[in-house]
Amino acid sequence: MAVVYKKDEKAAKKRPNYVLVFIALAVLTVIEVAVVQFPLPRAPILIALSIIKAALVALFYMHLRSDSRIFSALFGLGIILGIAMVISFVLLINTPFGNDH
Amino acid sequence: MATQAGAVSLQPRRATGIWRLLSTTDHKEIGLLYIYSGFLFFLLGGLEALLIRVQLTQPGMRFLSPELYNQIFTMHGTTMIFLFAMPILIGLANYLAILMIGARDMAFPRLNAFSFWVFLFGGLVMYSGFILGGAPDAGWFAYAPLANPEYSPSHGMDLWAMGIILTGIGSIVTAVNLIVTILNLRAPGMTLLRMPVFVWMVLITAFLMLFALPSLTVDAVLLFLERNFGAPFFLPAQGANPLLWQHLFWFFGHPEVYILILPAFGIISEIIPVFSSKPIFGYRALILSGLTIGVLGFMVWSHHMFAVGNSPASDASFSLSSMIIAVPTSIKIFNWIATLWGGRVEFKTPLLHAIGFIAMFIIGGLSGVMVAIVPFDQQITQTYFVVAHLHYVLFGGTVLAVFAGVFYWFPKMTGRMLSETLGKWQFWLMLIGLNLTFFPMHLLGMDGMPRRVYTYEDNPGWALWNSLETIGSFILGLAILLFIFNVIRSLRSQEQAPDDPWDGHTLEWATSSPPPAYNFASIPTVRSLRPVWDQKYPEFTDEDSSKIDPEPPGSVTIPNTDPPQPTDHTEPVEGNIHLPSSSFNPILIAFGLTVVSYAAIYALWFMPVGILISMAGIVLWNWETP
Amino acid sequence: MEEQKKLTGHEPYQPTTLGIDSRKLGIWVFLASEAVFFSGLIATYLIVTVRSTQGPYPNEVLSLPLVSVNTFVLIASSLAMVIALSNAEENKIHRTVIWLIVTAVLGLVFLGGQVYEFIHLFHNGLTLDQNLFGASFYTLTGTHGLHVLSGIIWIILVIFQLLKFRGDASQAAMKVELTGLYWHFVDLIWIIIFTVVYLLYT
Repeated sequence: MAVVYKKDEKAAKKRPNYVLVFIALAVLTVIEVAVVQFPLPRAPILIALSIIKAALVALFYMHLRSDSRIFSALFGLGIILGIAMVISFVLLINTPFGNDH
Repeated sequence: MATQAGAVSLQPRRATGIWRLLSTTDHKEIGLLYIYSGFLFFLLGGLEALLIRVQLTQPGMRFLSPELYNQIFTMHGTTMIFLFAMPILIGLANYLAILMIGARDMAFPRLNAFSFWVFLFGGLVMYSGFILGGAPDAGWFAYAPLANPEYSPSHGMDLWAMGIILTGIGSIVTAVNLIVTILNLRAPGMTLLRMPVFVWMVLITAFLMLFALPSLTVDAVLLFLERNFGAPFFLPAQGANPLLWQHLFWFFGHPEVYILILPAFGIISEIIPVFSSKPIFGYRALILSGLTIGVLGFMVWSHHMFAVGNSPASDASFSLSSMIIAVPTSIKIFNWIATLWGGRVEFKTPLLHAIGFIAMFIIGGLSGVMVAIVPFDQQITQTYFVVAHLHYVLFGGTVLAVFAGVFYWFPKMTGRMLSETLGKWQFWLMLIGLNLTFFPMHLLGMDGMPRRVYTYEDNPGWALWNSLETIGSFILGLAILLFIFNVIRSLRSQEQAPDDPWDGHTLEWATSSPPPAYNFASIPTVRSLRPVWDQKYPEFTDEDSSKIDPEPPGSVTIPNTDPPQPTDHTEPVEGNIHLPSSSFNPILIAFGLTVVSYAAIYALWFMPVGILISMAGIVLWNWETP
Repeated sequence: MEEQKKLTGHEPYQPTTLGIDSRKLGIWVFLASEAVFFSGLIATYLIVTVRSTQGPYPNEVLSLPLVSVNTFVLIASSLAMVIALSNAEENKIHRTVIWLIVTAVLGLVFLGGQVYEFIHLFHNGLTLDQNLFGASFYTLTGTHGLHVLSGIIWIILVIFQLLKFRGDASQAAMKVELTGLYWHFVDLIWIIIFTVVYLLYT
């Protein structure tokens, strides 16, 4: 009597070049450190750079790019909620929109 | 382990009696542990309520000192929410949702056990305050800086913080377990849109727990660090804004109330169709409204803070979102009423409670919309109006639904029927009691009677209403006693309950009462929304018959599986069924974390001992995993 | 007659509705929760640090060179981890173990760097109760450090399991993958923390 079930199949997947990703991460980090040495509007640049770095780790090291979309959806939910929490809390506590008059 | 074809190879039970309880990983046993413990905490919380009511019968009474009163109302709220309502709903989910999706157990049975023990120990940690110099006393929501040592000098709030962290860990782990189980262990053919409404509600609730509890955990950690290490997170003198506490708290606190009500909605959605002999009206609308409530539930939290001095823009935004969230809730109410309409209605005890739920929840929902209006809320905030609102939705809502569910599923879980007569008496007493206790609170609140204060001024009418409320609360107590008597009497009776006493629709009724350890001899293949009903009455043509699949598309088929037979529960027909092994490691780890909690409060140097105990549990757990 | 597979509660290949391993699904669900948890701590840091009424302030005491190096160490450990997984997927258990050891060692180096930094900050007057910056800094980075420590312990447990069940490739790859997901997540959080704490206000 056969029991048929689905396996978590990974057909010969093309794995990303992990070292290349590492180099990208390292370079981005250097850029980040460099940015704060200059009188630039650091907040938007730094946030953008760190998002890119985080995305690289998530997509390539954590295999979100090649794995089931379900993982991305679940993790994405948490990330989005977390970002919403940070933004709304800062607004509600440290700005006049909230309590800081 | 024997592997004969056709045999159930149960892991030989090493333990019996109490040791069996301490090491069980079976979702049904854990479900019952949650339900029994939850009910015991309900009694404790109820006792606290009665003490409060006695103290408030007349103005100026000193039945309870102010200090003791603070501890009693704090523990009442904490107990009812964290130690009764959540656990008992999780217990019902544990027991029933797994059966309803045709699974044999949770995805992670040992984690399931761990969740239970860490909840129980967390509750005990909080209660130990009564014998360790003072129970928590700053309200169940523990606003800082009221919760700081300056105003709460005993260790009560430290025990509260640790208890919250422990129970929070348990809830998050349960959430992971439920989500994975419901998404990944459904029987073949059970698509998402064939899941019972209760399972959907449990799934959404699990996501709420997953995302809301972390905020509370952060809050509790910050509070603990402030109280014990001077970290000035909420101290205005050091520049802090104490509202940080409230935002972190209510970001959890609001989804929390949906955690408390969505499973209740699910229970009602199971009971009403069965006792109307009709399918649920508007299944998709119910699901969609549940999802909407889940999402919107994260966008309304600041409506608990309308009186703290936020900008009008902020208050208006949250007021708007709070009013919008009433819409999906109303949709559900219409769906339930439409289900009853035209059905062959049997007014048995579960249905009485369900109808009572609808009526009481409408009242609670209406007062909820009222408090969503900022100027009104700013008048009645911190008064008994809020107490009235929350008790109509939590007692008239959640508690009635819990009793509905208990009456409905008692035969399945215990193999005994509860007495209908006693049940009806209990229901009416409860309905009268709850309205007598909580309705006058609307009036007192609008008249300005503050909450969370041990006494009140002798204003005209206040003593009368309070006395009536106290009488109401004792009627509630009587109803509960009647219920307990009903349960004990039934458990002692020899009469075996049938497998399917209510002519049910969903998979749990395809097992014996109670089900065997392995739930289903062969995992059923599901072909419709009401698998058991459709298999019993294939001749009935209703609007659902067109939705019955002759051949479920694309599903994984386990051969040689017949549609669920009501009596097909004796011997399994194919393959081997290996059940999850029992283990003492879950309780060991939970115990270690409890030791860490006490050490953090009383003796930091002892923390490594607790950590080592937990580590031992983790290593052994790892060792026993193949 | 085909071989009958036993279904257990922990069986990696039990029939699953979505066709994915339950444990992997569980880890991702858990990480989603952890994302909200760390967001709470990060939000706290962002809110309270700028409200500190007394020093030391971030730009006075935070040392960028040390922490930048530490950041590289942690990112490198993620590389080591994913190489370990690669080897596990190819059933090269010995190599897997070696790269897991490298990961754990780099993790320990990171923690060492954190401890060193904490001591340095402490001597400069930054304590948990000194000001809001101190309170939120130590809480956020300390919690992260505890997560790194837990990850290291998990890696050690996996190493023992791999050595014990040598040759069971399918199981090995999943075990490494599960611990790897957690490890990368902790690295991901550090990427955010590094930016928010060390670069934003300094």
